[in-house]
Amino acid sequence: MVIIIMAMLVPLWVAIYTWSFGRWLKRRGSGYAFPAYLLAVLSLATSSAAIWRVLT
Amino acid sequence: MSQQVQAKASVGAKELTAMMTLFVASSVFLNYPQYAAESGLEAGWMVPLISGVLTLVLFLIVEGVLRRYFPGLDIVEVTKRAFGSFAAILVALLIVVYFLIDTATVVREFTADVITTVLPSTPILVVSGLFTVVMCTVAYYGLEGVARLSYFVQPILIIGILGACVLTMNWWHPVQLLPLWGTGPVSVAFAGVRFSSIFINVLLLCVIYPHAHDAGSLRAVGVGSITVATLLLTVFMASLLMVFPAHQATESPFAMYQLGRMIRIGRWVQHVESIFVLMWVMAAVVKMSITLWGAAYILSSAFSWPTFRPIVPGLGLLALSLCLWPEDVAEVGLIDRNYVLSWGWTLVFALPLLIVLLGTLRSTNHREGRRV
Repeated sequence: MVIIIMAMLVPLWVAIYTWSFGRWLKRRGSGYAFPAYLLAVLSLATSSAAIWRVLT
Repeated sequence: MSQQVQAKASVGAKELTAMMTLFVASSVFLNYPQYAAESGLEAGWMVPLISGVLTLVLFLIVEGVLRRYFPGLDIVEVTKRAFGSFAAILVALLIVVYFLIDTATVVREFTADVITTVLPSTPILVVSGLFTVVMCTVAYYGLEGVARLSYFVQPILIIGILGACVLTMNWWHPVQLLPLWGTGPVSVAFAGVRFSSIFINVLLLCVIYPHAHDAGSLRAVGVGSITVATLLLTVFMASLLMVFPAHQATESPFAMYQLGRMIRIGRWVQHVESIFVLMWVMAAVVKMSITLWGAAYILSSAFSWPTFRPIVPGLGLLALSLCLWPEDVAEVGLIDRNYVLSWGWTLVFALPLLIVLLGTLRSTNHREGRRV
């Protein structure tokens, strides 16, 4: 379980980073922000599922 | 819009040639030689030759139309101008999904290569994770970073591939290339078309077009890279089929490694396959970085984002998750062969050709309409 939590730190950081990019886009008003949020959620969900599958 | 995404990216002809050559030629490290040998048997060396000629013709058509009607625009911008924003986003998403699946397939195949040959007790998550970190780092530096890395790696890779061919000369049996047409001319020609998607040059041209330092030199870049890559693949396939009988070549998923293991010239030149593993890794990094950068750039271009860099880690993670999803490398091989390689030509060739030709027609009609 500890290994899974440790492994999940990277996807979590990436998701937060991508989400922040979406917020920055929204604040700046340049381009669509929604796809950035979607990418953050999608990458976190798929990597969580993949890590769970590989490590359990 | 491309100026918006990456204003300063401007890459020279030599670097672009190296990048495109490397992208195609690195297929010798993957399962492509096995598929080509399976499809053509003794004539497996003709498969890349047919694909190369087809790519060259399509490349010249697309480049000619882009240069004349859409100078300085990438494929998303051409779609936006001709068919509107919704179509541009749709096309961009299609290309991004293709690039991501391609990246994931390559990550898994190279990971399997490394684990099977040199790191048998290392967990798959560690090897594929390290590959992902490196490719994200290279892609983060943008087209300039990828192209310059390719320019640095290109001579090593070319010498390596040709070295593997020449150093196994004492095992060559040219008679193994007979019967000349292998599985038959129709079957070989069909395989050439089917596996032509390894030549991603046409699609890449449509992506990097606005970034060429001299757009006029892109024709030379395309022709040079397609020719060199085709010759490398053909020479490699011919050597492989002269060293191993055709049926044996179809059973080896790591053709380059197996060819490297055959090198035995006297007491001092033998067991040099470890050098090829190093080349594998270098080629893998460049190949995966190109598709990852392409996916990030196209997505940024479609959604009018000012930069592509913040989404590189997210896309890298998505590719890593996709690569870990199949049960084993055999399943990845099946997906690669039956879907990515077999149907990739629809996105690599047909889509750019269709967009550019239809876009030209629509632009011409608009202009004529205004004149009337």
